Amino acid sequence: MEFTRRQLLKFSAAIAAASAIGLDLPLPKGIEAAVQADKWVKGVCRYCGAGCGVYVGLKGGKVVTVKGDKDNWNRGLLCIKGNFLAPILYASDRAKYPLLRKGDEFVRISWKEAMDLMVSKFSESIKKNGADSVAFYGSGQAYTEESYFISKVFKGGLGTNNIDGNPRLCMASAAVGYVTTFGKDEPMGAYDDMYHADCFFLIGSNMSEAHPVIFQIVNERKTKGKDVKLIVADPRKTLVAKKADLHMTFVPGTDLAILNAMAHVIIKENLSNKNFVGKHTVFKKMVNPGPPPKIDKMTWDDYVKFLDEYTPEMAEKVSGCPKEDIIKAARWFAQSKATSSYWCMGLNQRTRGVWANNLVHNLHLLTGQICRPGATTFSLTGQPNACGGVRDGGLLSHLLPYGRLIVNEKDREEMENFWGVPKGRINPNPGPTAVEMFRAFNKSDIKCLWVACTNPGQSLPNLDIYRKGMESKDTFLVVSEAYHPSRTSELADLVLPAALWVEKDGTYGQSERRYQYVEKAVEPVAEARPDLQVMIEFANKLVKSLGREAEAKKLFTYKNTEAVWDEIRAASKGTAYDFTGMTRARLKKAHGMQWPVPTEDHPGTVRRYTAKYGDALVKKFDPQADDISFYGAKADGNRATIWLRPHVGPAEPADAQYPFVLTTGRQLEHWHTGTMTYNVPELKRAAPYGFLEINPKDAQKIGVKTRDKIRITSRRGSLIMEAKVVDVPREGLVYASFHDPNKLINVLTIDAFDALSKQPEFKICAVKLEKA
Amino acid sequence: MPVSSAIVEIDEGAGEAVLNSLSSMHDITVYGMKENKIVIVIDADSLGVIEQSTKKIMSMEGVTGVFPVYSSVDE
Repeated sequence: MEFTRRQLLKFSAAIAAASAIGLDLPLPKGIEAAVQADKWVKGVCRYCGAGCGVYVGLKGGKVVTVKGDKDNWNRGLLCIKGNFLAPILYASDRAKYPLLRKGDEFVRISWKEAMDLMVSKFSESIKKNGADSVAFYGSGQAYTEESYFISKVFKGGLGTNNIDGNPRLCMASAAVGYVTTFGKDEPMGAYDDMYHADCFFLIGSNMSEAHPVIFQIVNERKTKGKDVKLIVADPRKTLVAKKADLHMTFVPGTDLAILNAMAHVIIKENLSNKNFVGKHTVFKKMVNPGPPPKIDKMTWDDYVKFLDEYTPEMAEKVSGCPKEDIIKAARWFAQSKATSSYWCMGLNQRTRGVWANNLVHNLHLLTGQICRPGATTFSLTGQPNACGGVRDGGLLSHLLPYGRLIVNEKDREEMENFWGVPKGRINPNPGPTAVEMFRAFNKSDIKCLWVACTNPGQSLPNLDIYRKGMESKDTFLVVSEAYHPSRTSELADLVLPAALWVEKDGTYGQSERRYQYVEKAVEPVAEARPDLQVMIEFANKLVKSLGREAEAKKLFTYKNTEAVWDEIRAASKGTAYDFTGMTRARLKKAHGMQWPVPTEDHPGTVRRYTAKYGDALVKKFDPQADDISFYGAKADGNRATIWLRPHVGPAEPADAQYPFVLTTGRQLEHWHTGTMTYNVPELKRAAPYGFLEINPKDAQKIGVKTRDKIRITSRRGSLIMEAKVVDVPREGLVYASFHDPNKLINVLTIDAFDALSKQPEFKICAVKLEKA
Repeated sequence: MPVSSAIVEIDEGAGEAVLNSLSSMHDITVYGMKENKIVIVIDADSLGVIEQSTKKIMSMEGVTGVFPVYSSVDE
């Protein structure tokens, strides 16, 4: 039987989809091999933190298609963005050559010229003003090897903690939430918990758009499972909320009252697990935020007394969420066989983001809904390597690798010894966090800033003031980017063209502690280079220019990314993150591995903090434990903390002058600042520009209909967008995504940040609206 | 001309109605169904048709999601 090429293509597409759901198709023998790409290379999706496994299809040395990896956790499924990954590599605006600003123009220069200039600028500044006059701003999209290495350069080589990254804008509150409750960062659970949970509590997560494949599994569980409940707490009636058995809507910024009220109901109705609480928890209250914060130990009775005022009636008054919904949610949460909570930016991008995280953890600890299949408290992540590279790898300005802290002398000494740098080299003071760093750059306290693999010229809050700083002629801004112009590279003094995704190799670590190796599949376009290669050359030349040639050679000589990875594994050895056994060879074969992986014959750990379900580190750190041990919290006797956190509202609630709340977020077709997705014709056509969602009742009040132009004004700026009148945001709330580079919604958002995590409150600011 | 495959996820009991609706779309070929998932291939003259078809399927009663799996362009 002969086939046309067209028929072969159709069969190929059908096979891919059928295999993703385990459906056998009666296709002619041998046809699959005939129609697929020349070669398939295993990798990971470039977009969100879900970490979907992919196979990258090559033909004639180019990436021509992508399909889901059916042997990975995503079972071959991809979202619309993942499906159209190939075009991101061949976009017309790929940065191809180093570019130097000359007045208002950029001119092409050689890599040698670029590197010499960059090294001389940084070197001069360090010699004249000290190491704290230079800085690096990194990314949850860089490979782990890149983030670890540049952190070593700045903290161990230069002795400055002026290094932070965009995860500060997206999940810092989740990280600090885990650390303050459980002693160490990262979720204890796994995607596997979705198959066991019979109650899902989603708060501040638009899962169907931001993490579509994860939502597909939740939805499947809800459809197939007997009596599986889905609770969604969100001020917007998203698709997830429409699917929910209970949608808890509330005034933005009042969910702390709701979470405390749920705890109140659980205790009043005797639904708590007192045995678990007595065995595995302590109680604390922060009496002074510091620094350093003053924290008092509390008791169960103190906690019960603290919750007294958080009646469902009080929470309804504060939040607008009906008390019946709060009571129902509390009962379902406590009484289900296994409850899993998921959240994302709705909790994290808040001035009380850490507290909100703590209060979700409280509910799990109070009810014992934790550390067994289906019962877990899980932060979803926005970027593919915020967890692996930045949180675990210690890129942030207060961190050292693998749970070590800058403020801890023992941790500093450990890393100084490990890196082989003089004692005292690591600065004992945490450096500036994202917003603080750009404030310092505005004031020229930081003279030279290197931004890599991220787009702060679009993604920072209160954007205009920071864009002015980046544009300043008094400072030197280097931007490593795969695309030019981006809204940041357009402000740069020097643009370095970066290799993208499978144009280089490296390791990603995603939301469920799953690490995956991304193999290099194709050569970078034109003169683009992998960031790690650029970093290594820069570090060697810079430290040499500072008169420490021998040290540069000792610290920064690596043959390849695997050599960096081997050092990273060694840095994790013996810590609560231990993945010594996760060799490059194993990662190449596996479809991801979940740490801890303490030895080379260890299979990885699906659930952490429970010996019964396979965490080998429980017995190492807490030999007396019979099963559960929160061994990251050694100072608290390996117990987790139930926090007494009062309800506190947002930094800028709506008021008479600015009567609406603006919240920002994500939409299905695009990702982050759109540099990649706006380059995919299919996605751009599906969602060509940003818009403002407004509730029909509010739209009527100000006299706008869908497609009308609407002026949005906050205390920081003003923007005109197209209105989309839709019953999704509740009355008083408007919503826009932050993807569109031509509609910089962040000129309106506020740069107030959480005192503990330093994460800005993108989710809530006050605006006024008028028909434009 | 593009070819794209997808999994259409449906509500329990909606199979027959959704299959009927899909069969009335001339760019769509249904390849099979397992539990609440239907495998389709969209064979279109342009990418715009694929987008329109996907949106139309998403708006069908009983459809809970459309998940693209594979796409290719026959040049």
